[in-house]
Amino acid sequence: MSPTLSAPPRPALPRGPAAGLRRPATPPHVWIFRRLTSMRTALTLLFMIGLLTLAGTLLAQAPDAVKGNHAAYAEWLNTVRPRYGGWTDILDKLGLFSVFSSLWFTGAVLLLTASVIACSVRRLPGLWRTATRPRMVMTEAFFERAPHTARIASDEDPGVALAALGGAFRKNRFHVAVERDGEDIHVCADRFRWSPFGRVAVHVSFIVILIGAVLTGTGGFRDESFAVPIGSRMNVGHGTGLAVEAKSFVDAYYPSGPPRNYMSRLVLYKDGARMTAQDARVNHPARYDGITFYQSFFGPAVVVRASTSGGRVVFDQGVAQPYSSRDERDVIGRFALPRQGLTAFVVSPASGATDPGIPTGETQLEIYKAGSNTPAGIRLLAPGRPVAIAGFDFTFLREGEFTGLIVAHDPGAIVVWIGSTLLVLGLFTAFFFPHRRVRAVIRRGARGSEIAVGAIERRNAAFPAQFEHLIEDIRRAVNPGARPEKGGTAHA
Amino acid sequence: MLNLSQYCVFAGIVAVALALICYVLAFASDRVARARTVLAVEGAGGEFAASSLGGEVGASAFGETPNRAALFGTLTTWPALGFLTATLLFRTFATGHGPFANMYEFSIAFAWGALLANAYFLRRYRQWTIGVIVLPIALALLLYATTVPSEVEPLVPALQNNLLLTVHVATAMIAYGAFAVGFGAAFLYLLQRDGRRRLLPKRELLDDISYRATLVGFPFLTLTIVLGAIWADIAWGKYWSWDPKESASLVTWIACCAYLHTRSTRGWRGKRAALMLMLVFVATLFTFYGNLFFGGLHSYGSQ
Repeated sequence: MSPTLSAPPRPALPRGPAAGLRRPATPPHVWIFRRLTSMRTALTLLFMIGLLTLAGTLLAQAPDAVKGNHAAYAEWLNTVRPRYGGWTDILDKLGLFSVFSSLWFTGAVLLLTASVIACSVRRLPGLWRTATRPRMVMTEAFFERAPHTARIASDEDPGVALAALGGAFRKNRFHVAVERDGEDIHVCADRFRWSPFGRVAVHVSFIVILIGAVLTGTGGFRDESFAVPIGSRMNVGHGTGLAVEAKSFVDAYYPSGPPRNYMSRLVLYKDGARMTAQDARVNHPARYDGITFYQSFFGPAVVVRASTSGGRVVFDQGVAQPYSSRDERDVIGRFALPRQGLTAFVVSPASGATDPGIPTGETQLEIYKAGSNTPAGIRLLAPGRPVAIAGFDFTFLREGEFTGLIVAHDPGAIVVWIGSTLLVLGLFTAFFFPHRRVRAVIRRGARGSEIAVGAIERRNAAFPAQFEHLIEDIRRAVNPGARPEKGGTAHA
Repeated sequence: MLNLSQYCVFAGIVAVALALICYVLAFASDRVARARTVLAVEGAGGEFAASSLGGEVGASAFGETPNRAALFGTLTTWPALGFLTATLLFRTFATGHGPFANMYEFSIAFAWGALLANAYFLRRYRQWTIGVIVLPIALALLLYATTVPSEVEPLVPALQNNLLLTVHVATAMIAYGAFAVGFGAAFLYLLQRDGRRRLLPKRELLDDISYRATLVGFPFLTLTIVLGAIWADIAWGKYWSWDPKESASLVTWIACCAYLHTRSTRGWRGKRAALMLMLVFVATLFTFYGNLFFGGLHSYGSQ
């Protein structure tokens, strides 16, 4: 009968007042930092952002133009109601028709940013230490148990062997650090030792790109409906002091029908002075003074003159007609006479359409006085014939064309490009030039030197061959006159 | 030039199909050999079995003891890659820009990316079996290309940026090709059961290959997105518009990101990592074909 081993009885846990003793509570900032640096938190946020982005891809998203306008948004919602049926209101309540500006998405992105910052702060000192001050002296156990090891004997003295070993490492583009520990010489060889900072760059780039996006959203301006009638000059506004004159517009088509080119000839003025003339084409915007002019759309215009009964001209230029009536029969333009307190709408039949109320070749003018929703007058204008409305004579001079531009000043774009460069360089550095560390120790041996080499590189199917190649180079270097197989063995 | 390009597509299809048939034969011959081995074992005892297993059919590492059909299949994938490269080059010469302006050209380019990535990883790891998954993907893309219009349409103004059109889409195709290889290795990982399927590589190796493929694909996908943002800023006046194709590519990027983080920090390897990589490839296909369904600013590429 074999003796039975049994553990001594455990002392009973204290009860009574002592049992009430607890570990000191974690301070809130420490708790928050721990949560933020937790990979579980980062992954949860990443999954959440991924799912929301997927939802934003699959579900119709409300156009910017209807956001913030309750009536327009409700109208847009009705257009998607047939598609989503009873889910429409639920999806709307969840903010899934404006996913990318929703609280969910914004909150997750902000939390992820905080998590990335916290993780970077926590990891950076360790990475710096690993790259600049690696542990140099390794125990024998390392060279016995590392996943990749090799033993090489050399006839040379340790000093000579070190020079040869260093040469072999450098030939394989390793940086070599040496430390003597008594008789032993420890070598730490790194290839692409700065590569881990590529990952840091990637994480930092995320923050930089986000800062750029915030600058884009909050700074600068973007006018997507800047319509300039050909031959007219329009102020850019937004405190730029710039004005744009459209000299010409060309829309060209391939014989088979698709568009070939849209191009506007623009003259730019700053505070009234002519500064430059440039062409704006799709893919080739005009740029001046940090402002970019993108060719975006085009359409019809009419040239209108307004004068007082005494013959003084108060308005004489093209009026772009970029809007359509609900039935899409007419195109509509608008201009203002602020000093006279008048707003005018110019309505013409759309290209290829007819409006029974507006004879071909004529245009309709609606004049409103400031603060009034009732027109002061609605009249048809035939070319060249002045018509009196609200005390002014309006003359429809001729039909024309306008060019539609997007005018933008984006102070965040440059920050986004810096972040993007950091992101791409960081990723290619980290993934295409991975850090490899190989250690060696040179000891005085019976006939010269004994060299032990070891590396920890797990789960990399390509590394054993690289290690073999390196060991072969070392072997040749430390035994210059020897046959290739002499001197030791490698295990991976 | 266009005719030459067309001939090369058909030659590429034939070469890919031939390579695939060879791979299927390689598996079939392996089954026959195994059946013979079992009979031999039953007849002559277990000792004979061990020598027969390693000699006739060969280990999974191609190049050690190759299966002839697999060897022929692998050799055929190189001309297939050459034909598709020639297709893209001839079409580039004919059009004056990277041939990436419609679904016909996208599909051929995707197939080319898959074959290129397959060739790279084949050369690096010598595992032909991944081609058993990648080649059908390439073949499906090429066959799909034959069903859509192949005429060269002139570029609309939004696409008239030869440099960015070429580089933006070429990097995307390299990324997609790498993800196809990652998917292939992940799929085989799920098929491989404790090393019992002899022709398939060991699970650890498949896991490593799928990881390495993602390490190649992810930077290229990132570069694609960044180049796309630069182009969008030039052409549309906004570097990011939440266009469906942009959002879909971001979903793929996030899925990749999650895979890499779960793998490196939470030790998600093996089955869970393989499933995540399959998700990445599904997201890739979703990105690739997304403009067919969602319209948006990329809709000119859906013809």
